[in-house]
Parts: sequence; C-alpha cells; structure tokens
Amino acid sequence: MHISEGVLPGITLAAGAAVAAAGVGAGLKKMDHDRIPRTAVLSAALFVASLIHVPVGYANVHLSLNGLAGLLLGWSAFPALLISLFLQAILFQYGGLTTLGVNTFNMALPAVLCAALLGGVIRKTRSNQAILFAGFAGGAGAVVLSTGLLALSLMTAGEGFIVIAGTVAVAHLPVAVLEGLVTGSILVFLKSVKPEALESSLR
Amino acid sequence: MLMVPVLLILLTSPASCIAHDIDADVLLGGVGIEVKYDGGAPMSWCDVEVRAPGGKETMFQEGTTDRNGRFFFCPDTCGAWSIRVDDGMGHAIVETVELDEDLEFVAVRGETSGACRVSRAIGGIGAILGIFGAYSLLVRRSGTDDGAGEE
Repeated sequence: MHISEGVLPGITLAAGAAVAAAGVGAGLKKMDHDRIPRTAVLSAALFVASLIHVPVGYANVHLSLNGLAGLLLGWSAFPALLISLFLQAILFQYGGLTTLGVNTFNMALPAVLCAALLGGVIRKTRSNQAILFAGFAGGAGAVVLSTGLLALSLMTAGEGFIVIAGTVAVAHLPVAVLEGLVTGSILVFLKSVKPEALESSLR
Repeated sequence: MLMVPVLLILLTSPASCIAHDIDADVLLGGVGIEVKYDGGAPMSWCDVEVRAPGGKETMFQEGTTDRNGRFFFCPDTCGAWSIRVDDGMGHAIVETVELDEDLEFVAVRGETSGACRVSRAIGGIGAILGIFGAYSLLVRRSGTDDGAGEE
C-alpha cells in the first residue's frame, strides 16, 4: 500500500511529510526505553510483511499489518512504520523517498485510530473470542482506513488517478479480511503466552 | 470540365503519394525485459521508462508492458541502459542492461533474483534492529546524563 514517486503534487507531499513528522515526534515521546525492543520487532515484522504478496486479479497487493502495529504500539506505530517504509523504499523500490511522509501518515494514522477505538476491549476482556473479534476489526479496519486515505491522496493528483484509486480500494478488500484474521490470531496467541504484552500496550 | 483532369493529375502524382506514404519494416530482436511479482504473476500493463546511457535524464522511450509483463525496445548506442517498470501501486523495479559496441548484450545489473531479495530483506531487518538499538543507547545515555545532572 504505497504511493510511488512522481505521482502526488508537492502540496500533498509537504502536508504528508509535516503530519507524519508530528506523528513520529509523538510516537518517540511516548516510546520509553522499555518499549524500544518491541517497536523494533514490530517494525521488522512490518518490513517483512510487505514481501508477502497476495495476488488479486491483475493487481498485486501485500500485507501491511499496520492494525497489529497500532494495537501493540499505539503512537509508536508512527516511528515503526517510518523506518520500515524507508527501508522498503531504498531496498525494494516500494513507494519512494519523497512519498515517505504521505505513506507513513496513510498507514500509521489508521493504526493509531484503531488502537484508540479497540484498545480498551483488548486490554480488559478475558474472552479469546472478544480479542479475536477486536483484532479482526482492528486489522481489517486499519487496512480499509489506509486504503481510503491512499485513495484520497491519489485524488489530489488529478482526475486521472481516480480510476487507480478505485482499483486500489477494491484490490485491498481481500487483504483487509486476511489482515483481520492474522491480527486477531496473533492477539489471541499473545493473550495465551504473554498476556502482559497486551496489557502494557496501546498507549 | 477542365477541373476533372486537373484533379486526377493531382491525386495520382508521385508528390501526393510520397506525402502520405508510410513505409514499415519488420524488425526482429532488440532488448527485452520480462517482469513478474514474487508469486510469478506477470506485471501486466505497467509503465515502463527506458533511459539511454549518458545520464538518468536521458529519456529514450516510454511505454507499457504487455499482458505477459514483457517490454522490448531497440537500443541505438552502447553502454548501460536503465529500464524502470512501475505498476502505479507502489511497486517498481529498475534493471540496468549493459551493451557492448556491437550492441550485443553483455550483462544485466538488476537486483531481481530471489536470493538477492532475501539478502536485502535480511539486511533490512538488521538495519531496523541497528537503528532502534542506536536509539535505545541514545535514550539511555541521555537519561543517564539527566540523572547525573540532577545529582
């Protein structure tokens, strides 16, 4: 779920970079020393997830796991996504350096929103079914919101990109379902083997 | 009545034929590229930019891949030709094809092999752990300095 170089107008790039920088700043402020290893591991997982491709018709999309990052990291999802997207851009030509801010914002803001909406449920409930459902909603919801932001970003590039925006949105629906299942499963697994990981998250 | 033979002469004259004639020769060969996603699916109808040797700004040709993810062009000079394929959804790849003075293929300097992708992925994970490790040291050191200052 990236936007390539040379697509967006300068104003969109500048706005994306500015809000992403603010988000990263907030994330670093909330990321105390004990949470750095977790953020690093999640950032590595986000980086690797981009290599798992899901063929959807002629389009080719991949996992993003931004919902999982949001639910486990809260605001620290911003720096985690910034680092993973930066390395994806320079190592695999996914997205680009000029679009790094927009791509970070498009993926991290939904992650933080999902954490804010579903964090309470995941922290307090003892039911695995409730955690699975909340994880599914967080994982799938983050992808849907990110796709919406991506489509809005593309629309700022002109009417010629509206069709592409629609194609991207449709292509990511199966990914949203898959990400919801993956996120829910991981949260249930964490609840059973390391419940404190969920209790201390979502700040 | 005089106009009819004049029109006939004008329409059948060699000059009029040359002005609207188009010659086409069939060419075989050239340099081609075939691009696929990791899962083996072709990158169909993706944007292609071919840049000639002598600088990244030297655009030679633009086009799209076919339904099988293939694209061909006819280079006219030796050197390193850069081919960039972009699917418009954030996935792009750049291959560099080297041609000798006879415009014969010498080498490809792309990074598309599976082994190369794995090594880059491992390198990326290492870079992430290194970045956050360095940040951790920075936070700890600044915390220590603050603590020392308070004492």
